[in-house]
Amino acid sequence: MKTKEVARAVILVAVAVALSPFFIPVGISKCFPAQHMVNVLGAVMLGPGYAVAIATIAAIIRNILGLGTLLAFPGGMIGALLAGLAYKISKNIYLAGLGEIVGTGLLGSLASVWIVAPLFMGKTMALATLMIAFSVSTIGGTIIGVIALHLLRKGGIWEP
Amino acid sequence: MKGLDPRTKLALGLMAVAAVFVASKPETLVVESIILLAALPILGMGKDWVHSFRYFWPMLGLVFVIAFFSFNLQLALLLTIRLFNLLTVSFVFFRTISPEEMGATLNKLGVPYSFAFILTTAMRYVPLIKQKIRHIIDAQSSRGIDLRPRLRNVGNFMALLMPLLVQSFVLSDELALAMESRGFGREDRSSRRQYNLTFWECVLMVGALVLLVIFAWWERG
Amino acid sequence: MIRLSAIRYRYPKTGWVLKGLDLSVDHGDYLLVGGGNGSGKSTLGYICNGLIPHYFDGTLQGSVTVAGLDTREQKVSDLLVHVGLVLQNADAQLFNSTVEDEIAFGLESLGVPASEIAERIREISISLGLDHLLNRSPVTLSGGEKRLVAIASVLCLNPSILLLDEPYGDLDWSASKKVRQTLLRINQTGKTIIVIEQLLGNLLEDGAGCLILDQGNVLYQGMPQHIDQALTRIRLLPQYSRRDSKPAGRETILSAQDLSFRIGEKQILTSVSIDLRKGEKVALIGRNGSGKTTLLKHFNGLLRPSAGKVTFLGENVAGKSPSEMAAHVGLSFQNPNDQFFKYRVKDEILVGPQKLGKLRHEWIHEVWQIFDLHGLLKRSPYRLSEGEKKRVSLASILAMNPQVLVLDEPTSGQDVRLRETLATLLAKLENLDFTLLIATHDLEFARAVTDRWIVLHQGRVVADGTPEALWGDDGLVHLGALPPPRDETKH
Ligand SMILES: Nc1ncnc2c1ncn2[C@@H]1O[C@H](COP(=O)(O)OP(=O)(O)OP(=O)(O)O)[C@@H](O)[C@H]1O
Ligand SMILES: Nc1ncnc2c1ncn2[C@@H]1O[C@H](COP(=O)(O)OP(=O)(O)OP(=O)(O)O)[C@@H](O)[C@H]1O
Ligand SMILES: [Mg+2]
Ligand SMILES: [Mg+2]
Repeated sequence: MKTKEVARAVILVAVAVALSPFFIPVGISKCFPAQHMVNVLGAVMLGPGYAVAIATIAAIIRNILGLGTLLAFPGGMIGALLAGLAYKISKNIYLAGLGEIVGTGLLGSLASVWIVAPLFMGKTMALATLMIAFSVSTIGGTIIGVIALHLLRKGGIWEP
Repeated sequence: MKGLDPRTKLALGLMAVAAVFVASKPETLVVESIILLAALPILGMGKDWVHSFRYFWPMLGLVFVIAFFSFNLQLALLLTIRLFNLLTVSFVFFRTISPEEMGATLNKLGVPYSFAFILTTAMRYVPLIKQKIRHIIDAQSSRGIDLRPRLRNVGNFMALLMPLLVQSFVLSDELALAMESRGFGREDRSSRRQYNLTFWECVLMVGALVLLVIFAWWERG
Repeated sequence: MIRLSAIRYRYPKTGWVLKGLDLSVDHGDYLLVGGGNGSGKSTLGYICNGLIPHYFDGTLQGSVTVAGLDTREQKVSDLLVHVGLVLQNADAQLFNSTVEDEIAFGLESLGVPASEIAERIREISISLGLDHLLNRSPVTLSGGEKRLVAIASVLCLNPSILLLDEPYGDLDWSASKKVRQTLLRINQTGKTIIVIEQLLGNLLEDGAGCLILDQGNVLYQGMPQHIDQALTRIRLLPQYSRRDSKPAGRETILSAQDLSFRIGEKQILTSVSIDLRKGEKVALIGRNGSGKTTLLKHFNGLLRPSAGKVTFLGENVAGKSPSEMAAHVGLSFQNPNDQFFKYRVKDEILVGPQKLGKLRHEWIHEVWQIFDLHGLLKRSPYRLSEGEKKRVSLASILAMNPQVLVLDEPTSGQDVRLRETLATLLAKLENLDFTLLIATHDLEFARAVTDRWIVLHQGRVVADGTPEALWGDDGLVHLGALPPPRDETKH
């Protein structure tokens, strides 16, 4: 039902934004899991269309509130789309997680690089480094999202 | 800026981002930076910008380091300044437009009403969810569960996340009831906010577009 | 106006939630609907505004007509001009960014033109006294203001029936009074009012009709005045058994000395000094926003005072983290859902003791015994009823075996039976030598389980004494720190 889905999307966006300052320190880098976790939840619970809308709107709001930058857009949207499509086709939570990791970690960072330096795309080494930087958050967030889905199912809150 | 139709704001904002985007000559980039930095205090956004800078610098630093090692200092500086300009101009853009205006504009441009609704409504629930997060952290710390950001507390993260998600889903179900009871699903909505594009705003937009094209041609040509 | 006959309903995966209900509400009536947790009150509300059968799946039997229309043949969005439903949870009911947008939303749904919307907003906000709040965001409103805005948000559509689900939940006596008067006034303008509430006791004089449900059955239906005769069967107000107060020890266990707290410029607590002696049962009484919760959070180090100090057994708490203090001062908050994250009740209760490294199996078994949890241990905490959730959350705090037990609004959202159970539970703890501190605005409950009241008003302690001495004290009533005493003969 549409109303129900829109309401859930509203709250997922709010959760993504409200949790966005939370991080887990990993060595010298920090893992910001919120957006990636919400991407996985949105993709699995609501499908690719809503997942992309959630990622886009969360990025807009984070920009408006000064909690994020322009790079939040490619960083979230592509992953949400791939995760949503992956789940829609396979009905498998892990594949949805893989979609998020490939989408955000690989394609998202590629898009970000293109935004920063559209003219100098030749160097793969630079790309790889950027990707790893993105991936700490992506992988962390995806794992948390998948675990959360499991717990929600065990607790009887959500059923596939 | 305040009196403009949000469509004008959106168009001008996007063109400003595009202008920064097409710039690639070192002189232009530096001039842009100077203009932006001068504009911040004039628009009264200096303080907020400084505050938001903590989200900028990790990315800026990363790009600089990578470009320095894989290319050379000059190129690294160039790319970093470019990114800096891009982030700053988008920061200014998002500060001048409210979610309501953004939603209404997108709706006028054919984006479904649901999208605009999610945008404005989620904005209202952010503080509520933040409050819930605080309550959960308080409740869990009172049971000896440490939720401060430390690597050793990773295992405790679920103690924050699960109560939050469970309550969020209950809230979303109740929100759906409230929306349904107030006619969310109806087709024939009206809007309380009326926006009118004036003739001068159209002229402004066309003028800006022409400038942008000339600028792009000159930069790349 | 509303005619229900032989209504039975069940949600997709439940048994019958309403089991044969006939109801007829006429133009200008004022109906009170009472009953305990899960008795089917909200469900009845959804049936009246068409959410059942259009939004919820499940099985509806019997016939429902509203304003002469069969709800099965109408859409929810076509019924909203006849029945305005104000939901229980104000945070869900108010989903717009400002009060003005909130009132406008329903009108926009109906396609009312902008100029008329402005006019209607003006009218309704003046008549409910909300005109100074129009630009505020719902997050910044007090509980009472939220209710009034919620009423405005459906009243603006000019429905002939106004249906309110637990409008007084969590409001203190002064906010309740304001909402009550507003509803009576709206009723006098000829609108039908239906109020759903768990504890009807004090409200009976407002209504012209009364319906009491119990697990989907009708327990009483008729005039509120005649309910007295049926009162032996129906528990409208909790009846607490008297308790022998035990003399408190001499030793001070927990104390706040000249404690002040402010957030930014806002002074929230001012020079609060309190001494709790070992074994004492104390209630912290005060209106919404008087600073009760804020004060409690100082006792286990969740908040640090801006001035003054908190000591536990003579030792300053300032150097200890909340997780360290958890072993000594067990703080249980209002909302049990804030703590559940395991999928079995048993694990949930063991978390605290395990974290503190003081897991003692005999004690845990005793806690299960006291709270009667053996049947629940393998269940998912999310799927428990409200009363069971409360019991589990209290047990999870007690399992850490703290010396002081601090409870914030333990009766919130609990029906008559659960309040009585809670009082009995706390009485059982009496023999275990806990010091008990409860923050509440439920005075009856406070009188039943404590021997000493500390009254907080606008962040200051304004009285400290026995319940008998303070109850109905003219000075405190005048100050607004306590409600005027009710006519006790009535109940
Ligand atoms: N959406 C739902 N799906 C399944 N069961 C439900 C749903 N909503 C309520 N129930 C069940 O229906 C029964 C009646 O619920 P209802 O919400 O009508 O009670 P209530 O009298 O309003 O209780 P409370 O005072 O706690 O609000 C309960 O047993 C509840 O668990
Ligand atoms: N984080 C905060 N920021 C700003 N103001 C706050 C904050 N927390 C509490 N307050 C304010 O402090 C005052 C006391 O709040 P508190 O929650 O302690 O009251 P309370 O007595 O527990 O009320 P209630 O009965 O509603 O639970 C209120 O006016 C509240 O608005
Ligand atoms: Mg209810
Ligand atoms: Mg409180």
